[in-house]
Amino acid sequence: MARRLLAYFLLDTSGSMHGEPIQALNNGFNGLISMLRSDPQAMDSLHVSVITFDKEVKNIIPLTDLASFQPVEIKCPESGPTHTGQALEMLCDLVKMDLVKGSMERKGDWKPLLFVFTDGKPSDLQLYRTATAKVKALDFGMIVGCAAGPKAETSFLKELTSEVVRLDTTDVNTLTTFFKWVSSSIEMGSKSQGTGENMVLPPPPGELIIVV
Amino acid sequence: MVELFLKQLLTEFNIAAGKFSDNTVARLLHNAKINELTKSITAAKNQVIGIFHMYKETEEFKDVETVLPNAVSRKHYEYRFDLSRFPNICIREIRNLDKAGLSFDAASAKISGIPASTLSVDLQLSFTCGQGEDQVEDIKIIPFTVNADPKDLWLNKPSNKNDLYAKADSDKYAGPFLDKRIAVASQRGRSHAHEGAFRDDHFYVCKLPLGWEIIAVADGAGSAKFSRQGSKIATTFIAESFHDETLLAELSERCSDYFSAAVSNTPETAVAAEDPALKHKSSIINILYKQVRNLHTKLIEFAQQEAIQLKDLNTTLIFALTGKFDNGYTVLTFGVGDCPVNIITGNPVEVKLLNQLDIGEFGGGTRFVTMPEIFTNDIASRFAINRFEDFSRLILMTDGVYDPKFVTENKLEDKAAWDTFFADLDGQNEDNARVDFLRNDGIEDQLLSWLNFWSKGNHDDRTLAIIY
Repeated sequence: MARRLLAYFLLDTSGSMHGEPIQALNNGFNGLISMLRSDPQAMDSLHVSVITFDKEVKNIIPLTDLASFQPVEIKCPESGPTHTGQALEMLCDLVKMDLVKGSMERKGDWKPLLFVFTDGKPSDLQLYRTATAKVKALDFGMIVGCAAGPKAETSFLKELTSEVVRLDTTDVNTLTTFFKWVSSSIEMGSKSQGTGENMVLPPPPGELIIVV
Repeated sequence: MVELFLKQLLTEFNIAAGKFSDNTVARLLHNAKINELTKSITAAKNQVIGIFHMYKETEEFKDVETVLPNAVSRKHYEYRFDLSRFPNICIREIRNLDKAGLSFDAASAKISGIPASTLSVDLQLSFTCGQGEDQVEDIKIIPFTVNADPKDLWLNKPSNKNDLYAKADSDKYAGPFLDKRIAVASQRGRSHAHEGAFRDDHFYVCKLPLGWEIIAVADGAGSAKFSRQGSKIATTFIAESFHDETLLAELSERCSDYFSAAVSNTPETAVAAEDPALKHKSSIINILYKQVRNLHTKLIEFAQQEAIQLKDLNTTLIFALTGKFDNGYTVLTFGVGDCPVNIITGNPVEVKLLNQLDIGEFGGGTRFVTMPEIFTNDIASRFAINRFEDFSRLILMTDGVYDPKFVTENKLEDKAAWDTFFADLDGQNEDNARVDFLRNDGIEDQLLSWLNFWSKGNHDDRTLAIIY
């Protein structure tokens, strides 16, 4: 069994995403999968898991290898809170369950990647803060936070990772650009694995604003 | 039937039961016209409910999640729809399926064929429900994906011959080695070929004075800019540095002393402070150590001279300095990094790993000969002094070979794993690639082709040296 690269996607499906934003997210995410399908490294090792969070938190796509991945329709309710903290809690449980550690018989997985996409801020802030500490303890290869749209707050994502990007809008073009960048980040990630060096993100396109 | 029908009808029209209505019902039970109308109304109702069920089954069929496993281009694909829950559904045709190069057989509800190229498409299942004039027609959409065969996704771009420290994308060698023979091949990995990058592995075989010969193999670090040059310097410099008759004369003598002392050692004297074997061992290691130290200095000088950083040359190194003398084969080995040196002895048949491997938890935790921190007292454990009456194979390889073929380092001393490995070399693999050790001509080409084996997730440079 070859070493796997696990990528976790936490996608905001709270009420504010209803309408065009959720359409754009679907387009962007399924586009990302298509892009990755043409990368031989990703086809070899990438496994994807998707968690959506609104009032409810769901692992809508349990860990699946890229070759078996089926297109998905991400849905969101018309209104409701953003349980980001609960999503991070679920993420920790999933990583503990999914990640194969090296043993005498088999090589362990590479350090996993995490992408958090939100258009707001956590409604469960207390849980968010305790979960953030747990996520950090899990030793991800890279965590990227994306705050999209006018109401997204970057400060909370900053508590999770130093790699935070901002999108001004949540329209189709912007999200497509974002997911293209995610795709090249993942390709970079699978390449830098095994070199013993920290992963460096590719330079983001103009639509993305790096949050310092 | 007529009575029940009439009673339900009266209820529907709010006509209360009573003497007159009861009498009327009794009278109408035998009325021919009423009987006929009841029959036709019941038949009409049945027809309506039948149509209702057809439409309902249609809706359910459209809603049920049907997942077609992804196909792979040029690989046979077959999928049969399970319609057991939908007895009246019949899939007539599937539009867009021809785009994927597949066909559908309505009678068996089966998709089959060999998809030509990668594709993502929405299949339109045109289906009917029921029979005759009440038959319902509808369309169900199912997304379908044909993945590329991963082998097709890898590009093979030649490296740029005009670049600094350019190196051939592959290398090979075969020839005599002591009273045996050696075959070596080194192949650029797919991950490098995909980007037109250089092969970072290197090997060097060299005949030395006084009956010694050396084989050195190095794996340049993927993360280091000029590791292709680092591995080249490491192998050639270390091998050539033993091209020194005085040094080898001293080494031969020390080895001879060491083996005689080691043989005469009883367990009691082995622990004594003035152990002669230990003294000779120390001299041998110091002779070898000095050359490795010189190599390190050489790498520093080279980096300075080229105005590059030492870590740009990061490379692992293994070598086996061997000679055949009166009492068998002397094999002196050294290793830094994660490449193994193994020997398969003749009698009894045993597998031995002749060096310690540096392996990190997440991979990439390896060590390089460019690192100053390896030059501590602990470096002594990186050298091994061995003598074998005979051996059938002496093997040096980079992790590009052992990762896919042995997976974990503990398998490198597992006899069964080696049996599988040699069977694989002998042609027991999906490509039927065979290395014929009984024929000398072209063995290096066979070895190079064998190195092209496919292994998911393992696309590093591969170098394999076999003395046989």
